[in-house]
Amino acid sequence: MVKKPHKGDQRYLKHSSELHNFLSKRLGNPATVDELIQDVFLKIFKNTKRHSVEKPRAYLFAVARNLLVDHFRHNIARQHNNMLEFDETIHTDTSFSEEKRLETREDLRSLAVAIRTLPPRTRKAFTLSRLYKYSYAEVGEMMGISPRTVEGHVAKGLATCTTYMLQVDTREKSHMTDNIVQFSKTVATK
Amino acid sequence: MTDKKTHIPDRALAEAGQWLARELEGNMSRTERADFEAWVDAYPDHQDAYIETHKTSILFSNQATKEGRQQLVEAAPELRPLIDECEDLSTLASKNSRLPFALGGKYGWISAIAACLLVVLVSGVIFFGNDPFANHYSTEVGELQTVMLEDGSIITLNTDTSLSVAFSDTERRILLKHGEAFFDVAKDKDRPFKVVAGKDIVQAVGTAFNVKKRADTTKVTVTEGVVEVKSEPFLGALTNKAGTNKASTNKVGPSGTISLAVGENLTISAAGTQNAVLSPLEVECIMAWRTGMLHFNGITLSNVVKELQYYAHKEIILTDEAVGELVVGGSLNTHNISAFLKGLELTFQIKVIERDTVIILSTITRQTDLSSI
Repeated sequence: MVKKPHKGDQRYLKHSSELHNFLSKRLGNPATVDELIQDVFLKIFKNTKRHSVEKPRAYLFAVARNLLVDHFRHNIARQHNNMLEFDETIHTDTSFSEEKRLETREDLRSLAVAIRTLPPRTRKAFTLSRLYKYSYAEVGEMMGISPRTVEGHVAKGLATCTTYMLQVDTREKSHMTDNIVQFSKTVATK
Repeated sequence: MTDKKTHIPDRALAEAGQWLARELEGNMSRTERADFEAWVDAYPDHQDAYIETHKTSILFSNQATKEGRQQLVEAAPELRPLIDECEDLSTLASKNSRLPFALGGKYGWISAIAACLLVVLVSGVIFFGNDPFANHYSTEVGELQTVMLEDGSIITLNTDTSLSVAFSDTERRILLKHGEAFFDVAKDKDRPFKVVAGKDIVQAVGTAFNVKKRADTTKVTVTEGVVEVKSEPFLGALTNKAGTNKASTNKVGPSGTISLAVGENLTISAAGTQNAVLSPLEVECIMAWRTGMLHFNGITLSNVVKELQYYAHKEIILTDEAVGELVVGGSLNTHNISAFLKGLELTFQIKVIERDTVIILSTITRQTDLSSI
């Protein structure tokens, strides 16, 4: 798939293990990591001006970030379009075994604690929106606030929980991201 | 350098949260999408923040089932009260069919009344001075902007608007220098939310309202909850006009404040203060600017033009009084004002001429005079 690398391409290839680490920490699933690594190099090798790039390493990671953003954005579309199938998928997924559940107990705890770090109103709006999948209008109706306010709570909830999740051990989290990617792949193949 | 995951700036994370919250609901406009792409491309920090925020979001999505929530409660029993509460709300919502949500629509939530407040009269100058901590937001002519504040409140700025935001432990202060803005206030009973527009102060705890400040008037419209308005001219002007007020429930309180409920509108000007109770449709017309629309009904063209001038890049000139006295009605897109004005030619005996910097409206008899322009 990838053409035979040009000699100058070593400038990029020598960072491939670093790139692998970078993507692994953000994706978890080895297959997706490999796919993205391949995409990163494909993109770089397609760029005919690559030899004039002054900071190949920075360029490499810039491309990787772009592709990661795209990857996650596509995930949104899937979440949105498969709202109903979404729920069924995880639990018919046999890989989600008892053993796995025990393994992720600590991770689930981090997630639960992240919710607890939110102010009460935000916590409620965020939970109804993210764990119950009600629309902002519906959550607004339940709480007597406007959909825009709900959106504000969700935004704050996402930011605050992310801040918290970044603080907890990344090694702990890797198990969970494994599940995510397995899940997103299951949805993708539907 | 590439992997400082834990050093993503809070601001980038906050913004990523805002973008994702918008994106998750699936109703991003084309412009917003472009803005998002510009934002995410601007800095690696933004990309990292977006990626990490996304990961968090997916973790929650994975638990968004009955079993998933159960797992969370098992892992962290202290979460049970929250989940129980949400479970109750959820049961309640599914008992009432989904229909009320749809029908209640825009105004369903408005009925929820917010708590009330205290008012302190301080002038805008004392409020703000040269507060180095204040954040400033402004829009150009024709521009709309939505910002989320650190407390979760959301402000939408209409065209040619400028305001400052200063938060302290005891209050949230907004100085509306000029223009129009819609405030969707996050509840925080310990920190009242005050909008200072000249000599007028609008205060809320957690409500939604619109404030329009023009050179000679301030107009406040409430779309959710209750707000209190304090203004210097109140004591004199309103009591004189008390008999003409449609809203009998709203009178000047002992402290010189007027409290406004959902659907109420207050216009304060040197000429006096007018308080009106609006129909949901009228409220919607006032709020239409947020979608780039303006609705007029039975007002003179000179008044329409006066308002349009805030949105138009070109100067709109009425060459004679007769044009200005025409009574017009209708809806227009603020991004295409010249099309609207041009359209007037079809209905009225007027000529509309557009040049690089001006749009000239005149009665048809004057047409020849203008041919040299």
